[in-house]
Amino acid sequence: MNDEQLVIAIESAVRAVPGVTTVYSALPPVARSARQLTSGAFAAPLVALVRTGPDVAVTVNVGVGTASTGSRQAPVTAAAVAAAARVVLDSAGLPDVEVAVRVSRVHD
Amino acid sequence: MTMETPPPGGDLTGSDLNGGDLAGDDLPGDDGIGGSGYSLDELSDYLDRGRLPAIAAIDDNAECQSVLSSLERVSALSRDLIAQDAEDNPTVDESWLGALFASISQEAKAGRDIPLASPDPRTRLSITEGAVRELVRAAGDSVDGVLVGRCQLDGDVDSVGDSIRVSISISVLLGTPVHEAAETVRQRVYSELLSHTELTVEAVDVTVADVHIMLPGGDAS
Amino acid sequence: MTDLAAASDELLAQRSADGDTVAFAVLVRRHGPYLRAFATRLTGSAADADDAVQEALITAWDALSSLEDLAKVRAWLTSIVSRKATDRIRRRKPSSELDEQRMDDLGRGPEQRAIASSQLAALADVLAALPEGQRQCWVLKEVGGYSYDEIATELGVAPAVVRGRLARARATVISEMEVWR
Repeated sequence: MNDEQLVIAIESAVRAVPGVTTVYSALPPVARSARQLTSGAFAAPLVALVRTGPDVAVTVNVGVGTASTGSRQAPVTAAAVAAAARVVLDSAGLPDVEVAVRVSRVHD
Repeated sequence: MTMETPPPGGDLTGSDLNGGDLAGDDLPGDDGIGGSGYSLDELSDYLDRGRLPAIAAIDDNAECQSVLSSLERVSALSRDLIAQDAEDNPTVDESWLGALFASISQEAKAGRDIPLASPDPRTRLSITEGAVRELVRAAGDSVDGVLVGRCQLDGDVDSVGDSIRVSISISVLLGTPVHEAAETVRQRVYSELLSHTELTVEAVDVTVADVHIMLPGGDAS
Repeated sequence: MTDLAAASDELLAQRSADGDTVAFAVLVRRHGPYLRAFATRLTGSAADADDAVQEALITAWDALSSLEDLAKVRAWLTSIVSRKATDRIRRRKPSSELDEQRMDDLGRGPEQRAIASSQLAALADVLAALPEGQRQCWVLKEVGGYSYDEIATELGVAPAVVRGRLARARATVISEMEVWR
């Protein structure tokens, strides 16, 4: 699996986590536009994967549901998102990845 | 960039009201509006200054008073015209609105990253200040008759368990018991923060900053 | 759940400054028509006005957190719209004649709805017939409330030019509107 397929797989797994309402772009807007220019026909993936030498870092930016909708609390959901990303990374043979999950919206 | 220079000798366009030229600079021997010695331009400045300090030559001159009142009138009419234009076109175009919202980003308002307890050293979990403000607003809004305005988190948010004070300002619907509403807001905000963050909430300060009423059609007051 | 449409400008501005796009949308719907009307009379073009107002609102979204008096939302938005509108005006190629389209956008062209008061309609016609520069100064001064120096800076001309244009515009407007007294 190449990096592009990997981040798409992670995004898919993250969307399936209970309590996740939205996946936002992990990159700030300027970087996002640049990415879109260079990635050609494909829309820029939302999950960011950055390689620095041997190190790999993945960032996921999500919106989660509020407690009033019966969705899980933000910290629990964030941990579940990280776990879901790790499952995909482990199965792709990448066990030592830095995973960062950022909850940027909490809404119904 | 276009640059204009005023025509030499002043400008003589504009019709007469009473035998004098209305526009342009004072010419030698020009008696101004109604013989007062003041030009239209000077009368306009006088009006802009609120007619202070009082100038007898203008205040005692019928023609000047007539011109001043015309100036005020067309000025007010101009503001009325824009207001009427707005009434005639009271809705914003939906696709124009869509394009606007595609261009604004909430990321700028994300604020600080607030850490959440991490299951292992290679995992970093956080919630943004913007998300916390959003859930505080939702908690406050959920109280009947309450609308949240400003929301501020005071204190460091660098580590899990850091303590903060939350300050909120609210507006209450006229007739809503203020003290009870504020108390309910406080409780719901506290509870939401417990659920979704790992911050220690020292206090939730609720200030009732405004009162609002519902008009028929839901317009603001 | 209370409807945000009942909220004051100040409250909506506070929420928008904190990132609430729903609150910002309420502000936009509330002030948009006025801003667009102002920009249209200023620029003489509905298309330019729409673009200027959109650019202004994008700027406003970012700048809201630095606005000191959150209650004065409309005046503040109008000042940003003035800047964006006059930016466009300054970038235009100089032309000595009014475009047909501009006359339509300002006068009683087929796209323009009937103005309720005939007095306002008459004023609209008088303003539409003014030379561009005079009308721009008029709108900025009488509707926007800007000073001579501010108008001069925005339009990129000398203050004496603004004074001259306003002197001529005033003479025309008050004599044309005389019949309505």
